[in-house]
Amino acid sequence: MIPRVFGYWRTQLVLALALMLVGFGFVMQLRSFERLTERLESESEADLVEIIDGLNGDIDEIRGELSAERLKLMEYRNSNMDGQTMLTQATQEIADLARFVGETEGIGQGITIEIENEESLLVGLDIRQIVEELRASGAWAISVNGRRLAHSSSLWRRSGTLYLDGQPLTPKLKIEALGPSELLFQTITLPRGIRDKLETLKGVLVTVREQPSLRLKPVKGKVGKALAQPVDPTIKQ
Amino acid sequence: MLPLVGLLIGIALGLIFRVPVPAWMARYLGIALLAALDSALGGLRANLEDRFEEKIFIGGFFVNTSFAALIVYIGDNLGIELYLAAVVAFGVRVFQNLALIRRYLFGEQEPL
Repeated sequence: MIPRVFGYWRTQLVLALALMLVGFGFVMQLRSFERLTERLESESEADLVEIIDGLNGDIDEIRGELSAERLKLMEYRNSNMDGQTMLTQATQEIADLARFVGETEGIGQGITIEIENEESLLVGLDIRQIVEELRASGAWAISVNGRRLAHSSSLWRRSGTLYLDGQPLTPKLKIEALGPSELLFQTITLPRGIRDKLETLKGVLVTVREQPSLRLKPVKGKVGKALAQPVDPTIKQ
Repeated sequence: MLPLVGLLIGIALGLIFRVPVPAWMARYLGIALLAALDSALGGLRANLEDRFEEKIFIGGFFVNTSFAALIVYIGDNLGIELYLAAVVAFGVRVFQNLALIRRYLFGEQEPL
């Protein structure tokens, strides 16, 4: 039998420990929100515009993908495909998705873009525009300085240095893209296109080459796909 | 008095040790905290009522906290805002417990 006085202190101690955990967790939670707010507050107006622009782009893209998936669902419902055909198609889509998010190695024709950026004038938006142009022209795998881009990749510029997925990029950039090489080449070298735009910047020189065969390594580590959707098969050329 | 000291120590530890919480975890931690607060206040109330049972309290504290976070996770994966259920359930209980603790401490009359 525990004496009553001892029991009283024991109860108090248990409650104190529980409240200590609550207090500790409360501060952790407050801190996590503060960090997010501070990070956004420290951004310049231009960076914030870029972030919002990126988010709007993501929303549009997700809406587009959602519509495409709905259409596909309707097609499945209305089609007379048997289970095996649907399974084969689904397996192919999963393979395409794995390749598109950088989970598997990519081999094929494509282009390389070498960018001299001696004055470190390039910003994240410039690289993003190149990547968007490449993707819109059918590039199904892209890497920057040997680092494969995944759906969750992000670019950041801090003190004149560009960071890709948290890793700094050297001033001399090499972008490799797999896809229809001729079309990709034309997209980048289009008069008054992205190459001409970048070369107006001091010290920036863009060299684009078609490559009959390129090999891009997969993304290092695990690729999260919680929000990913299967790619549109027409993207692959 | 000791529970209050424990709370202050917890806050102080949180301020001293900057434990990073990933953004994705903040949602789960928020609900888990609400559940933990509910359990702690329930324990305080039970203590004032001389009905405190250590095993029930400790069990409830950890089970409620874990289950609250789990409900949010399940809700996120099912596309249902299940966390609202946890917020309402724990929120109501927090206020009920607070009201009772106040009555016990200040000897207020409970309305019938």
